[in-house]
Amino acid sequence: MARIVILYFLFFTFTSNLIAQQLFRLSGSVTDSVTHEYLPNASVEILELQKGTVSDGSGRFELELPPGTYQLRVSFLGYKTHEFSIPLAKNETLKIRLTPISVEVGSVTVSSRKPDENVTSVQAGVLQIDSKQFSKLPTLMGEPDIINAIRLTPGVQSVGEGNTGIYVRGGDAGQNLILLENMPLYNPSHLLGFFPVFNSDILGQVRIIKGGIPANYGGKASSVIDLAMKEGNRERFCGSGSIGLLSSDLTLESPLSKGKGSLIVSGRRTYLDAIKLLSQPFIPSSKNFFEQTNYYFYDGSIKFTHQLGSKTRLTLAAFGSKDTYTLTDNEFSVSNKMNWANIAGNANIKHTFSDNMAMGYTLGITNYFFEIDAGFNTYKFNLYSGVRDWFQNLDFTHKLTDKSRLKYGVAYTRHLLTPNKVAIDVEKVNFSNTNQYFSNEGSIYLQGDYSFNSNLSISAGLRQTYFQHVGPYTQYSRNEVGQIDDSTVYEKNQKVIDFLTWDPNLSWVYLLTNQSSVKGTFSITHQFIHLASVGTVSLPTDVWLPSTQFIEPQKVGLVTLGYFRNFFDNVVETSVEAYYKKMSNQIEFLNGVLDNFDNTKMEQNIITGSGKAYGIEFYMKKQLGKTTGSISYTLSRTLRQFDEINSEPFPAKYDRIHDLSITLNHELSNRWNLSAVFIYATGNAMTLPTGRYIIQGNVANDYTAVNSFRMPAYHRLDLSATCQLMKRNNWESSLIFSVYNVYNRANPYFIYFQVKGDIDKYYLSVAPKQISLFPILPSVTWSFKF
Amino acid sequence: MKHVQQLFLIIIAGFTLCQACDEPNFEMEDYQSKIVVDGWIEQGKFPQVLLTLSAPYFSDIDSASLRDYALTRAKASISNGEVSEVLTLKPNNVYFPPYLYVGTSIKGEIGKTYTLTVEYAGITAVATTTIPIPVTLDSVWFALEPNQDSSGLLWLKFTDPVIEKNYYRTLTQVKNEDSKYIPTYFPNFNDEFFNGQEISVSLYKGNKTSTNKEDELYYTLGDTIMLKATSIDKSSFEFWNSFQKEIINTGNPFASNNARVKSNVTNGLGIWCGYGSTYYQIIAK
Repeated sequence: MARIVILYFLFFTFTSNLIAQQLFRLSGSVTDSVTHEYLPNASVEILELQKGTVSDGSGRFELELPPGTYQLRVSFLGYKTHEFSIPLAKNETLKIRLTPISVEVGSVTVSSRKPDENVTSVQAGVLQIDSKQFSKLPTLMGEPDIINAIRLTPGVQSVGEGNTGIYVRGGDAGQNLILLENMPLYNPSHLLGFFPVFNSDILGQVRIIKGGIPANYGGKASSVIDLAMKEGNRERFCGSGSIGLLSSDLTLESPLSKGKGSLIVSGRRTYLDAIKLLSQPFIPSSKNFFEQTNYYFYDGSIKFTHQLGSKTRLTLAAFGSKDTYTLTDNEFSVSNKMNWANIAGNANIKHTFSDNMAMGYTLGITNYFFEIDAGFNTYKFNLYSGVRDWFQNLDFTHKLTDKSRLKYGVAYTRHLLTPNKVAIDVEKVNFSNTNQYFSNEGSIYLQGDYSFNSNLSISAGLRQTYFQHVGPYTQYSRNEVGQIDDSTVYEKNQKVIDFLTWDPNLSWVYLLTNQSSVKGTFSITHQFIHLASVGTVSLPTDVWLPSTQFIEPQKVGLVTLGYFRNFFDNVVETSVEAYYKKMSNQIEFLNGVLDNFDNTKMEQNIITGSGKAYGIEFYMKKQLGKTTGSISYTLSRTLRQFDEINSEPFPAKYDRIHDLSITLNHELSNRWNLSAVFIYATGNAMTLPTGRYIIQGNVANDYTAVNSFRMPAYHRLDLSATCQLMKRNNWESSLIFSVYNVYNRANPYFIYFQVKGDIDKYYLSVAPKQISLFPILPSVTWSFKF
Repeated sequence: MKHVQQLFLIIIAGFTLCQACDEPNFEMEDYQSKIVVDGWIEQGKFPQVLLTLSAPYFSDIDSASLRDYALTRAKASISNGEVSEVLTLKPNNVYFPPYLYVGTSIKGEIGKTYTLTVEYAGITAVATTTIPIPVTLDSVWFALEPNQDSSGLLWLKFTDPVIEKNYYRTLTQVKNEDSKYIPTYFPNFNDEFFNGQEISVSLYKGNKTSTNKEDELYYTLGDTIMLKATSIDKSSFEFWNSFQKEIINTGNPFASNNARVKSNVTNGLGIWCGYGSTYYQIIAK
């Protein structure tokens, strides 16, 4: 493997030197003149040559030009365009500082991307969201939530109330690669999605890839959510934070080593438990909900960057979040505690070898676990489920010519999955059972971008992955009565089974005019770590399982085709995109999680099936002016086929026929900003009984088809108003008033059936009952920045 | 395992911040009623079979329509592989429906397999069950719960046979209170975790019917409790276990919606269950 990389390295370095001989390098960085933050995706144009580039994720750009004097125009939405001339007779490095317009005219919605990217970028189904953009949207408790902002985009299911899962183009909640500063996270969520899991003050650029996933991303089959953490301020100490009704957060930034490095630290904590303490004197304990339950979470993140010389940069980042929920009931002698947590950290080194070549190396660990500790009289019970990954990636980016660019690299992950570890103690009888799986996942990839001419560009790539399930592992076989009668023991690192997969991808764009284009993508992706949902909603108790001899890797094929058109000089963006997705080796629990405590091997409770999804997405967005907003509508179907569940294909539980979301933001004055979100979605598919029968006085249900009924439609309007308070040199603060579910719609969360009457008295009636989660919820948050 | 399930229910209840309970409307397609078998056979006893038809889900059931679902014109017969017998319909006032198909010649024998055949309106439903060897308990006693004056649980101690996989089901009847044996709370268990060991099991009092979930979970000091401890075969256990989950989990979003009641009746619903039983009487003191 290493040899291949070196060969690539030598080959490309050699060829690019040949090409680059007659040219000089114009490189530099683009920063915000006030905050000194680097600005990714700023546009840098050479007016004479009608060519240009955009700054990368860390605000840097590079161009190769023949000697001469050039007029440069550097622009970025929400900032004053900067134009100047520069003579180029040698390699030059520039520091360009753009002045935000918001300093002069009050805050403006800013999008950190090229103005015409919607039309020109080769990647279809890629969305970029800027933290400033989604911060303005109304939220549940006044806290901006990137996951909810992502849900408002086309192809991503809009409804997330009580469900932390993200469903992209018919893929399930476990098929999204969620990367925070290159750290993969499993199930990042707080209780029922009530609170956002990522603090918006630390987020920089966010990329959502729904189709044609480039080969540098691997491991998850449906989408990539790539969240970059903001870099700390390099010029001065500063901070931001907010105080809300249920939680507060604080973010601090500081330069280090005289501007050579920086640090950003952020933390958040809820205080529901404090509310409990305060409420105790006023509410009698028998009526106090908090008397028996307690919930809190905290999360935090840190990012440290340091420039090691002019060409090398070191980044250390870490993220942690932990939720704790406890319930005690003395009457029933019940006590239980649930914890779930995400902890991840990594180190990254970026090195620029030459004008055309850069390298990145990442080494890190990510850990997710869920734990229940329960007691019931003399009965003690502990359940643990978790994932731990050690990962490292080596990536090269390589610019061959102005028209072609290569990315290639290798990745290795060591997975340790513990789907369930159970310890039970009943009256001196102890029982414990641990299911653990060790696996190795190694990949090599190559991704190339090429522009044939000014109209046609393509991006194509291939990722090869070798996945291995290794010991220690014991494989049991059972006799006819289900008792274990034989076992095969695998030693540490001894191979149990392996898989080799190829993931190709292709994206292309054809510009029809400078305001319109046609784009298409094709990709095949594999996934080796599977999420088995225990219920109909996404929960922290959902279990991650690796591919074993019983569970083959999931495979997803996706084809998309879309038309993109901008209007009014890129102020209004529109697109129509159709997709077709085919999925195989999808997994489900046959029985509920309750059965998993009994199983010696959890994989025996897993069934596999296939699925398909297709849909058409409409999107319109106005991104400049006093009034901005977007309309996103998706018409789609998602079907599943599991022979053990139903003989016919049936709608997936998250099958959404109509999914509409509208966002609106209006700059009323320098002080007031108003925003609104409206969501409408077809109700969830659900299985309903069609008949019922009586056994021993108990009423049971008879089912005929899976997911053939629909819950009532989901719709909701949220509003918010932001009032800018005092604003001095380095201090500003604002009050955010938000109202969630303005017209108090009782949206169905789940439906159950209440049987009334008594069979012995010959009277029975059955009525469906609906549980809804959040009524109208007003909230106020004070946020500040210094 | 039963406590685990109970705990889960409590966790779920705690999690659910209920806003409002509305009644949504659903439109149902035509439903074709099926034969429902609720029958059993014990060693030394004649088979007893209750037959009903399943009803469309949302149809209102009152005393008139309930009786319509009672199946009184079916032909029910059992066979032990050698001889067979047509069961006769008799009125009963203990179970629903108020008619019971009973045998008069074939009695249950330990280790034997029995086939039940029900014919009605051109449909034939068939089920097979076995009477396993009953397990004798080492001891049975009543014990008050900690900090309780009069509420307690029934405890039983027994030694699980090593050789085969065993499935158990427990039912109790409180004298002068219950008219029949009622399954205890989480009545089904197997020897997965205690194969071949001596084990103590506590029994909570079961609900009389699933429609009355507010029944007391405890036995009361002074009760005379009749215990029916039974061994059942695998398919009977799978039925009762899945039936119980069905009753508890219906519509619960935290439970998987893939599980279905595993009936051992072909071409019908319900259970034909062989019991290897032992009976005990305990005075709660």
